Amino acid sequence: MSVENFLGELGITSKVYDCEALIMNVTEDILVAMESKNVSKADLAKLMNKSKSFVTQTLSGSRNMTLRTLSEIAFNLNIDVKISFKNKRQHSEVEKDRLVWEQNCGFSKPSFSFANDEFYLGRPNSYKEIKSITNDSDKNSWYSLEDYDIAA
Amino acid sequence: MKDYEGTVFHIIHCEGAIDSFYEALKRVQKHKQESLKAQMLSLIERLGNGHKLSGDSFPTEGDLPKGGSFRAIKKLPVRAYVWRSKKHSNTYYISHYIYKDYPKLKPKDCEKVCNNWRLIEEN
Repeated sequence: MSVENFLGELGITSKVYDCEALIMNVTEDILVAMESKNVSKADLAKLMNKSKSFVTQTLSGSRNMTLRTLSEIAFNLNIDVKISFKNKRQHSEVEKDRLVWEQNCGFSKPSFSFANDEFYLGRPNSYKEIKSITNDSDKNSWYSLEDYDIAA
Repeated sequence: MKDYEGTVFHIIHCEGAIDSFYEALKRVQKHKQESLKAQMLSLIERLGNGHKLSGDSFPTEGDLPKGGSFRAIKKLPVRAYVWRSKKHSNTYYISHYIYKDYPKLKPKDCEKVCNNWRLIEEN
């Protein structure tokens, strides 16, 4: 079952889901980065000259995070923030893409995100590798490079 | 059982797990229910797509019968108890959800996870 099916079943609108998922993914990425750098919430609060409750509330999603705060967190963790915008693909297109992949390749289609590069599992290394797996000459019938942030 | 098919992992709900989610949700303030549903779903999606979850959202909670441990997918005050299957590759099972406003794991929850684990992993 896809997220879209769950949304219908749970009675959640896409607008609410998109908002909560964005907050969740940003805060989770920060928390994971903090863990990998061994920085606690108290440490971060000290670095930002804020209270620990400010950091806790911001990272739990209960306090709105401004871009200024995001930038400050990133600066103190010594990480870059990459934000990209892309057109939303219709669910039917995503599903069709997945089914075509599975019929041709015989295994589940991986998805591609370089934003979480070091944490991503099961991802081919490059477009060339994808092409060799799919043996498809027309890249656009499979992927838009923009969709998956893959450098040509 | 209902499942979520991520790009890396399948997340499968054990029998009764979805019902336990709605039970837990009843105790959440009405105006927070929709966001909480969306937050839990986004964590499940993140796990299914192979992205790392933080220790805050995916802590280790207790021991499984034959070694290993189970975790919680946590969005306060609701959490889902989950284990990664050794029998079925790339699959996580959600045993059940609870509304948790107390610090320690209750033995009955641990028992429920272990019973579901036996049902799935030993049959």
